[in-house]
Amino acid sequence: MFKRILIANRGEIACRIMATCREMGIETVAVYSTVDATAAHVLAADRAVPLGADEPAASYLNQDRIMAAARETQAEAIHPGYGFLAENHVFAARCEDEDVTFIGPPAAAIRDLGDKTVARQMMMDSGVPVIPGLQHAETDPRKLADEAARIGYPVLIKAAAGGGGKGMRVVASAEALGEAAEAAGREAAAAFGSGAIYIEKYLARARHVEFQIMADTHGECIHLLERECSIQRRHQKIIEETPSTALTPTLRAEMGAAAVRAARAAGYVNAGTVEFLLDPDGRFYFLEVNTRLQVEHPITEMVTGIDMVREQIRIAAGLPLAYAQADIAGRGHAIECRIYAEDPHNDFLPAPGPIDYLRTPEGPGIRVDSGIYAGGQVPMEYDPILAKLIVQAEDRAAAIARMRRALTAYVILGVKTPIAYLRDVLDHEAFRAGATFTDFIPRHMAGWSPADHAPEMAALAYIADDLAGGVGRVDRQSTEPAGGGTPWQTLGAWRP
Amino acid sequence: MKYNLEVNGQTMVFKVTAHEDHRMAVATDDREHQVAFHRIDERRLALVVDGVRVDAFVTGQGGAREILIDGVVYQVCDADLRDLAAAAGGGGDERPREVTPPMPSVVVKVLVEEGQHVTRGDSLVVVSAMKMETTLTAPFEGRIRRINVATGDKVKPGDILVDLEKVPEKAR
Repeated sequence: MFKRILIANRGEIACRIMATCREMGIETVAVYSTVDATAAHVLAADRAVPLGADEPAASYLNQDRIMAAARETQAEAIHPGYGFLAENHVFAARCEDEDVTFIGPPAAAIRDLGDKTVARQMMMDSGVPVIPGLQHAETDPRKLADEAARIGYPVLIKAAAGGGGKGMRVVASAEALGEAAEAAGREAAAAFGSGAIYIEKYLARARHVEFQIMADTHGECIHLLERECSIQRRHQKIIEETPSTALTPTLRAEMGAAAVRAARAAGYVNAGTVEFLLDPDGRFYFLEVNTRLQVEHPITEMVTGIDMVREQIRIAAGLPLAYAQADIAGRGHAIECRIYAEDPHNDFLPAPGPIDYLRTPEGPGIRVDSGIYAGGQVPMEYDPILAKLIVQAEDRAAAIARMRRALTAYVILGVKTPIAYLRDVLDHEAFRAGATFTDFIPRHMAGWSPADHAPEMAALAYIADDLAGGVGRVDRQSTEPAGGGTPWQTLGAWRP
Repeated sequence: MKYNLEVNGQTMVFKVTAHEDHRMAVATDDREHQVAFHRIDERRLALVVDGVRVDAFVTGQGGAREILIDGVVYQVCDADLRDLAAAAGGGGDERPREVTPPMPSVVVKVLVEEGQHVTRGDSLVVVSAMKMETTLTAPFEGRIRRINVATGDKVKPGDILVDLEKVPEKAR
């Protein structure tokens, strides 16, 4: 087993990885940028090596500096966490070349699965369902119409060279196809310099259901059940749960087997996630493979009782999987809420700043993976995730109730967070009913504002804060017109 | 003691009688509340309002504070203090007419040059925070008098990134 591991990341995930390392008796090496010199992950580590300036290119993406830090501290392995270098096949290959173990899949698997067309072809070859549609660009309207009829309406027209929604059209019927294809082609040509388009089946009400897979270097590969991550804002997951309310035992077994097939097809080793879209009729389609530890891995840990980081480290050290597929069973229900530094009153704009005050929920079945502390700073240079709140309970209703309680008890002052928003999502009848589709947020939460039903209570608290000698207290007496004196002197700290 | 408080923009008037032992009576138009209060720490107050326990967390200073109760943030503003400050010329009528970032961020790109003429809505500066880019646009038509930042600079709300001056209307 490794004696020392360098964690090439920051924030909550670096802290979480270090926790397992410590339990395994492995020393941890933190790396950090200038602004992160006193960040939570540095304080959690046994050793710490500065990387450079704040911008990611100079620090957490700086491969030369990270490799040098590993050599300097004689770290035998590097855990990349998620983001930054986690899915960088060049970095994984460099670790292999420089004789440092990369705790993740082989560089070739990262490279192949990172290319969406290669991955799609690979899945089709191994019998994993992909979203039906054309495999190549097409301009002949007759061929487009044939293909649309074959896969069934509605269909989605996409720009072959595209991205960002440009050239994208949802077409409900054959009559509308010709005109939509022309318009999409024109738009694509204007945006990308190529009018090439292709079509695929449009899934209007789909769920995002992913399977956790784990493979060792001895040819074993298992899945650790599913996670449903349909609650997304701007394509970013905000609430995840397991099990999914949409899976029957049969469908779960079928999708799990497909995920394992996908992993085997790619020559996968270590932890990974196979993402699927699931339509309301129970048909599922391959989306992509994430070749790393996921942000939402804790819910899998909560229901399976397996420490995934421990398994990752064991696999990287060449040990066989500690579990067989038959050992994997989910217990109860787990939910995760992501706590970002963002302002729900201001279009969820990032809100970096100081953490003035922190009160963390506690109690049975509650886990907080956090990268912040009171008195610390949330820098503007990196991902806005502050912490993840995870709960587990005997069933879904109990888990929702527990998450509600935990969110209400979670107090973070100094930066804005979406805690009140998340609670309102959990309270929504569609969420309660398990009607969680990827359009949940635009469909149910548009125009959200907090239920501020205690304004009078807030006013009483303000007055009490004055009387109890708070930090922001203003001496009211001197502002009374009859009181004379110089009220202006008391306003020094106050700005409009 | 009288308080004129604005909570989330809604004005309320309270007559407060402070008692010994961390208690107060607070009268509104239609009723009187009996309140017991204890400071637990710098930010946390434990209240008992007419027998009901409430936890409140306070940030901000002076006449403008944020109060968090039951997971929801309330903006509470002391109208008297604000009026006094306005009378002193210390505040009041500042409209968002300036090119300033909505959040602490890094300047990614400056899209204009000094002396350039821009119309309302033109993109001026792109800033980035936490992997999200925001484009700041001209709040009105005018001429770029001065650019105060360069790519890579760290900026915060209130920093004026670009001085924009109104082009005087030509005599007709």
